[in-house]
Amino acid sequence: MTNESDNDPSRRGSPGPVANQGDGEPSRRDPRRPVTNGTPTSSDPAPLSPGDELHALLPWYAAGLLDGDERARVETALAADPALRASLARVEEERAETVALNEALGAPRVQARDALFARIAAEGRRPRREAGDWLDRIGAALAALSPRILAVSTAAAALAIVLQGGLLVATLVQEERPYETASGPGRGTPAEGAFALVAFAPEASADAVTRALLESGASVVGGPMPGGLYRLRVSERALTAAEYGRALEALRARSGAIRMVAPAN
Amino acid sequence: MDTASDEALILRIASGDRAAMQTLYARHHVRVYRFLLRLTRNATSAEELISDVFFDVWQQAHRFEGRSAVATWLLSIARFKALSALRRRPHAALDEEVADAIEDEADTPEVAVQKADKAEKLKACIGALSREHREVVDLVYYHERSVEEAGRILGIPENTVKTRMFYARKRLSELLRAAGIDRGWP
Repeated sequence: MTNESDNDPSRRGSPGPVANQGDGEPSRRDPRRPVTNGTPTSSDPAPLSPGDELHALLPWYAAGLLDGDERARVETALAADPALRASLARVEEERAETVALNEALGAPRVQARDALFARIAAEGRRPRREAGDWLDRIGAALAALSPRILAVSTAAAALAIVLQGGLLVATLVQEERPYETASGPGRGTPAEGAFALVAFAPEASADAVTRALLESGASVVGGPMPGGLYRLRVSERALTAAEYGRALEALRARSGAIRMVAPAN
Repeated sequence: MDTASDEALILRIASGDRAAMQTLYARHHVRVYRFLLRLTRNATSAEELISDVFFDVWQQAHRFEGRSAVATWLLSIARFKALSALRRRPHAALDEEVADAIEDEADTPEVAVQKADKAEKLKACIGALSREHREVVDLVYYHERSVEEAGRILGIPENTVKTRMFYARKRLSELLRAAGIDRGWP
């Protein structure tokens, strides 16, 4: 019987986190309702009136469990209030009978102890997974969610994905621009002139590449880019379409050094 | 007899010391069992659960943070186990349990002495409290847990512990009045 959730105090290493303040309406809880663990329930009536607060402390006072300030407050009030003293007498009665009732419950049979230590001997100890503790807690937290919460969470997650998808599409549509080549204007690249993208022949020597550039009046202004492309400026001024075509043809003519030529903005 | 503190035992248990485990069990098993029995009202379940509680202590001792007394930690684990077990019980069993509670507990034989009669009725009415009320009553009166510790075990704020205990006592007073004993209130 060890199917536990994140509320399992043994896995948390300390007793339960204190939940939010607040009390519900005074009513008997439906015993068929799932038992809650860790939150005030509907059987917790409204907060106490100031006059009841001292009475409420008496059970702890009787057990010697109040700290200095509260104990002193109760003692001062007891000295002056016969009704509070009568209430304390009732608390003492209740306490004595609660102890008697519990004492009468006996003890577990020795077989329970034998079963425990046999289990310890048989199963040993689970290896510690300090680094994996957070995974345990996430898993346990998910396991602890009710089907209804899980369903709502799933729906919310699905909605979030749809919204994100919509936003993404909207952003793409909004930012859609005319086709640009990879050599489009960028930081650090000259904006003036005419440009081309080239890939040099793998077997070309540095001399061959240098000569091809000099002879075609081109210079490398960018690259290497993905695919081994380089951005060349083929003219320092804007060219007409015919001039630009001829400039590209001049590059293509250097096939020994340049294996591919493409227009670029 | 091992006189080490509970915290020292937990440290030893975390390192795999079975003798420390036996000492801790010997020291706490009766109270934990009674707490389980009061919650489940079933001795067989309580015995099964006590094995689970202490096995978890054996497995999880390294997680003990020392922010509360070991006894408080044990009672927290026990309560968690008991509530988990109650959730698995058929609803009919719960209804029956609640319906029978007062009658079963009130069947205590009459005694001639008035004082004893009152004590028995008081005991019977304590036994007839709802689960939420009897656990807080037990935690304070029998297990002697402070407001803070009871809050940790029950997972509720300290103010709620106080109000729950206050209204548990009020309910007890009502049950006693119904049984013919008017003690006054609060």
